[in-house]
Amino acid sequence: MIPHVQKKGLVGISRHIAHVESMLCSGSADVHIIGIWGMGGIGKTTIADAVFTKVSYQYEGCYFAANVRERWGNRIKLRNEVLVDVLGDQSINISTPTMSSAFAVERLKCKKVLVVLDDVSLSEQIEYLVGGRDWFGPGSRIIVTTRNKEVFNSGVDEVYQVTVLDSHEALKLFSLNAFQQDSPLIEYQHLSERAVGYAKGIPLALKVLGSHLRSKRPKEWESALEKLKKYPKDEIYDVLRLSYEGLDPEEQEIFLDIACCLKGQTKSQITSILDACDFSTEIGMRSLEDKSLVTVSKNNTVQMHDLIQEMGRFVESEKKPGERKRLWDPKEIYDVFKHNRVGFKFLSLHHISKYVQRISKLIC
Amino acid sequence: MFNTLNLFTPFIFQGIESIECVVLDMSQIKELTLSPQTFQRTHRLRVLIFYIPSGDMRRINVHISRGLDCMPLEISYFRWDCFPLKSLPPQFCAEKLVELDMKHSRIGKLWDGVQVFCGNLLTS
Repeated sequence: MIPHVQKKGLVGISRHIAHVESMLCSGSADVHIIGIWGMGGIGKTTIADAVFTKVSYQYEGCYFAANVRERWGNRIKLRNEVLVDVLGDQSINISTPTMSSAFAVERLKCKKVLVVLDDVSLSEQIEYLVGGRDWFGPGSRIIVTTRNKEVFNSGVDEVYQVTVLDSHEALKLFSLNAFQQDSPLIEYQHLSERAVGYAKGIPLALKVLGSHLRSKRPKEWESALEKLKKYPKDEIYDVLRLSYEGLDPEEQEIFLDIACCLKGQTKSQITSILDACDFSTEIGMRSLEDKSLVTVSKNNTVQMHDLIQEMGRFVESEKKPGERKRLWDPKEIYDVFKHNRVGFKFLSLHHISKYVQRISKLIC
Repeated sequence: MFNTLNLFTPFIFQGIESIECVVLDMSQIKELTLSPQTFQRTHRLRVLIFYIPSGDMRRINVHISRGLDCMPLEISYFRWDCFPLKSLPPQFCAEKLVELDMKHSRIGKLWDGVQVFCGNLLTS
């Protein structure tokens, strides 16, 4: 399962790719583990995917394990997928929690493999999925991407830190998304520079903001940038939220359905489920893709960057009881079904304080 | 004087009616027994996903001991791993159903009587 990489997203990553590639070549003849570290939205997955695509022909077995953090709940299945793919043998089934198939172990030791573990959140995930260094043959390479540098504390050979884009690269990536060309249209030059300032060189924010402003008039740019100025200072969240606010009501509903409930299902599944709920799903989905809020992966599943998903879930959880439509937190759902009511947790502090103010006005 | 609970009473008994989608990872909760009226007030529910991610389907922790009296009428996606009943409740409405996914359930037959479909059921 390799995430879909948009061509429009490939600005400033060639130096990252070259660097990671050189790390793959150097290193011992043994198994070598390389870490890619950086904040969310900075392009770690894009880099790992590009490197994987470029060099995988040099290895005897390859696997790209996407979304390790999300799939950790079903780790047995994930590990099975890694090993089956690496060995190229569908008949293997290592469904026990410990690696016990001696036959598979022997064969793995002879293979030179390349495995990417994408979005790892705990160091034990590396140990569990690729067994440290003992499982694979000489020359094997493991690439681990993470937001949490502590993951690398136990036994990673080299770490590469992905940094934000410089202002020139940032403007280029933004322009590709806003104008479908390398640089801003003349009349948008100054506005574009201001917009890029809000995205702080983070590729995800640049893409979403550029897509949001695409084919809008200068006046609309002004008002969008004014909004960003007023928002609290979490640059990436603010940009993503702005893009959500710009969707029409039906697109917002489709977006929230995917963020809260349906991410990871196939596109045709989501389309028929939402069509049955009387949405114009086809059009809505196309718009969400245009705005870089969702992507359709090579295996036809609908994916959404975690930061975008988090933003969507935050929007939903901020709704008042009575307006809340989606539940995904097991504790909340447990409460709802146990007591047949919506609990206090649904109330944000903001709602509570407003309510208390209203009540105290009535009393006084 | 007002106590805190009274202040919030108006909120406590509202909220369920608006729920349209529920996605529950059943491995993350304790034992839960649903009352027959569980879905009485969730008449807008259109997506229900009760799933077990780990592949370990043996442990059922969501129980329906006295059946379910009502089922959501608008449901279009219904997935319930290890569904504990032998058949779907007679009130189950498949009119808008697109997908029915009941892995490892005890289902012997889906429902009694005749169901009306809108013609877009994908799999069963």
